[in-house]
Amino acid sequence: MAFPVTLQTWANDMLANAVKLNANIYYAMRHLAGLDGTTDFENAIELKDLDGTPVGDVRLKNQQQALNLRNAADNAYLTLKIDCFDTGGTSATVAIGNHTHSTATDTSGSAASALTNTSSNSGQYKKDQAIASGADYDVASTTNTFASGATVVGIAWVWGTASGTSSLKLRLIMDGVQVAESGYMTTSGENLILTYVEALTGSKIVIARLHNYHGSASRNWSFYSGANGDPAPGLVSVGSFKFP
Amino acid sequence: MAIVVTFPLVGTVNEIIDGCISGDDSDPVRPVDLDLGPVSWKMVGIDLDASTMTIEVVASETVTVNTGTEENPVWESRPATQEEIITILNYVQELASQPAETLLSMANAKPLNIKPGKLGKLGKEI
Repeated sequence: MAFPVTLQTWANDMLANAVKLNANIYYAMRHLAGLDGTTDFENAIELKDLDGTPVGDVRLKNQQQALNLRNAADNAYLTLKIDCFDTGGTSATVAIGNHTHSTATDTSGSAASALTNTSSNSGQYKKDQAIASGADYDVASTTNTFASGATVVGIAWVWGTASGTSSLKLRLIMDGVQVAESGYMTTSGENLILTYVEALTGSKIVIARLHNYHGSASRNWSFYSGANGDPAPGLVSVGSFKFP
Repeated sequence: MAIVVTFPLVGTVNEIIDGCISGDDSDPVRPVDLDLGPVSWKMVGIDLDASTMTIEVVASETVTVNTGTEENPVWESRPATQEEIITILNYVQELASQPAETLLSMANAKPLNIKPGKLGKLGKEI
């Protein structure tokens, strides 16, 4: 079957206009591709999410000399400030290419409970530390000075028995923020251990603290030892590292 | 088995430096003081705008039960069953689903206190 061809007769002016249009399209496409000068976008560019479930389109725009971007479904843009990145070639800076980032120890510290037993109970030296309903008792605290942006591991530990069930829990407080809480101390002897990692800078206090959740009754944290004056089994400890 | 839940914040913020919250040691920034039961938790993050803390909650491996009578209780600890773990975590989930005002009221607690004039750079204007 012959290909159907319709012959078009072009007037000279039509032909000239078509050539101009073709040239304009050519130069516009080069400009858009960045081949002939800078391409300006007055509003946001939307980059389509092309995976199997395209729900994460991203919009980019420049506002107040900063790159702003957001998921197309979100209301607010996030500002990406490139000058916030510390660039360079050292181990702690952002740099192009493969390179290593080493760490260095920063500081460490610990404190044991200052509480001691004071009485003998049928040959066993026992201490009952009362904690009122809804109140706290600080087992131990340590103050250390951390390098800027140091990563700190905090550990709290206590052993003992509670004078009532479902009441006493251990809390770990790092720079005035409670970051972890244990389960209950039981009436038959219990190790409560908490560990948390976070970034801290400067002189900070880390605390191991018992809290009595009982709504009305005081509860004892009790422990035993071999001699009068022995220290309580409880401590708080920190260790940190930093990028040199 | 762990769940991630969000609770309203209580306590006192002393200052915010470069986005890091520094609280009052005697009234630390923390989730509202409600006993979540036989669980432990760790902080996942804080949202100061919403005044909430997100925590990861894990059920205790052991539970303490009364094997005696109500008059003469005998408390014994034993490993928690899978059913008990689910019940424990469901309780936490249900508690976290309550409105912030309800939870603060249950704990007789005040909302988070941020000391004025102590706010540093949070990454945005506040």
